[in-house]
Amino acid sequence: MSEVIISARKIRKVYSIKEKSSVRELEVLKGLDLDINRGEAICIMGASGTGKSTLLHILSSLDKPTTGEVYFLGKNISQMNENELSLLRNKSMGFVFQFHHLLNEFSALENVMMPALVGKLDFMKAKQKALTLLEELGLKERLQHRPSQLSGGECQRVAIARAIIQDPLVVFADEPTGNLDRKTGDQVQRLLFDLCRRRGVTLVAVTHDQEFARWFGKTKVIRDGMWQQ
Amino acid sequence: MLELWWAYRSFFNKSNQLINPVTFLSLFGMVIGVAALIIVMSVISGFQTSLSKAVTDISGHLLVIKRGEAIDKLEVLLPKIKKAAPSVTAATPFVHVEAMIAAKGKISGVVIQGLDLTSYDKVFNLQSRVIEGEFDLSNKAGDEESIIIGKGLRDKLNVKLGDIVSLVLPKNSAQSKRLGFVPQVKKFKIVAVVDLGMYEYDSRYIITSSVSAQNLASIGPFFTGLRLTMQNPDLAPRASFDLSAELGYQYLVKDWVESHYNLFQAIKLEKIVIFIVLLFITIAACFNIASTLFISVIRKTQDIAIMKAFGTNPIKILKFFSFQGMILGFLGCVLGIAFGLLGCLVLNKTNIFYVPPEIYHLSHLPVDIRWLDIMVIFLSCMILCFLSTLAPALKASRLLPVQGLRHE
Repeated sequence: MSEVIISARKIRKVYSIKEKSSVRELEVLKGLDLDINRGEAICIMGASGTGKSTLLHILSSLDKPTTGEVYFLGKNISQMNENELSLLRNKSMGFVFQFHHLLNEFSALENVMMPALVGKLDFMKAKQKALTLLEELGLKERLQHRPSQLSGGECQRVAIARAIIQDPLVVFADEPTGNLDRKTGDQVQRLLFDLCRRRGVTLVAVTHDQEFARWFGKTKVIRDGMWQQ
Repeated sequence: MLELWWAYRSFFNKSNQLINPVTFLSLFGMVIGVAALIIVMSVISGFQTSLSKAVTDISGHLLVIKRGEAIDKLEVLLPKIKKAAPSVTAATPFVHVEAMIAAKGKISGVVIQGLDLTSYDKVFNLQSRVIEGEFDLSNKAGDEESIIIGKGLRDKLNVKLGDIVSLVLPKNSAQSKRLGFVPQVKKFKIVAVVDLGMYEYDSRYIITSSVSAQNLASIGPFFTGLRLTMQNPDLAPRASFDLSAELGYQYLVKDWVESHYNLFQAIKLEKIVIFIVLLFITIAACFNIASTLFISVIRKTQDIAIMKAFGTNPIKILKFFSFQGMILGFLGCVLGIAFGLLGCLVLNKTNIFYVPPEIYHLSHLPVDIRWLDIMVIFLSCMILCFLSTLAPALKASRLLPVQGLRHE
């Protein structure tokens, strides 16, 4: 039986919306449970505003649930302090977002090196690792280019390399192709999917794309803050 | 240092949003504040230095006089001084006489300083202060005895080199009890004019040989006191204390700082007050730096979020924004120091500001650049700058990653 890597229990997320004279509460997630196994590829789908990204942020420790708990390899991440969470994200998690979010002041190579440097890896080792990854992703000629000099697809490939440079256990992808055209999006999806499968990395993705969702072993759909049966 | 690298790149990146008019205004404010501090502190230091130099050039570092009578013979006194204050390097006896000068129908009260021509140059630095004539007090046969006057006195009496002036001294006449004091008049020739650096000295001092002064005052071969010099003028107060203890109550020993205590204390206090007042310009500039960083935090919300997603901890985010502010502050300080030094140089070379000598004791605006002053200014400004970065940096470090990602 596969090891459960992430386990979410009764996740609720309520946003307080301030109006003129009152505060209105909006319950986005209504007590969701989820188990994600090591090496699994899971896709979370749902209409806009149903809380897919919110759930992804909560599972990846980027946000806190209003109630409920998230366990990462059996450890309750709600009880971790900021430094422990930073360490967990650096060593065990990778992120790919809809917008690449590369740092404009650094080259493609330096952007990929960044998580490794945050994790205190030696500069030369980080550089070597980033070089290998970028070559694997077909960006050998673009190493010294700044994000503004790269196309959308290239930026997203750099972001994928940055997500996996620390050999994470899980990669969280929030609509990674949402900002790309169909053809480029397909290429990027394939790259991300293949890379994670080859390295045995768990992939948790949020997408609207039915085509992309078909590649995943498991698909979960959110509707009105609950799992659709 | 990843944070420093990131801060450096963020600051000097061509497409950096941090380099904008607001940043330039912050930088400009810092430059103005630091430059003003450098110039004003250098002028006050220059004022201190010029006064100290004027005082020590004409008075030496220590004054030894005997209360109510002439000092003991030098053969007796000097060994005692050497024993009590070994740091004293030279001594010269002097005669101090207060008199009146009369020339071209004008009169003025003067102080006559009679110098021992064999030893005065080991204690005083008068040769370099000559602006007209030659510092030669040796009296030539058949000629009037020589005197040297301050430039203020020259202007007051409207006299020039070679003019003959009369020195008038009231003398107690034993023969004529009815008259009380009888004026004793003697003619002298002006052989040089000196700039003594202080209006008070320039307008009152007359320098002559001790023999001429003794003859004028009819005091025989006696001296009023001794003036001493030391290698390190800062040790004068300590030496003064030791000498007082050795020579006893009959002798009065004063060091050069004590002689002008009120003046030097006033300058010292003025320097501190002006430093604090001018520091407010820098504090205002620091508020600008804080505003610039707050703008940067808002603009970089997504970068902060993504860096936190990689595992960058809040301390590193705090350091990053602090470094950004410190780079701005450092640039402001360095440019401010450069402009300040340039300003000092211009002041020093051009003498563009007129200083009324009767009020400020000096005839020009002196500039003395002290590295200690620059260090204090630099460190104070950098500390202020660091403090100003804390609020925006703390705000950035406390941002939740999701706050930046929600903007997607």
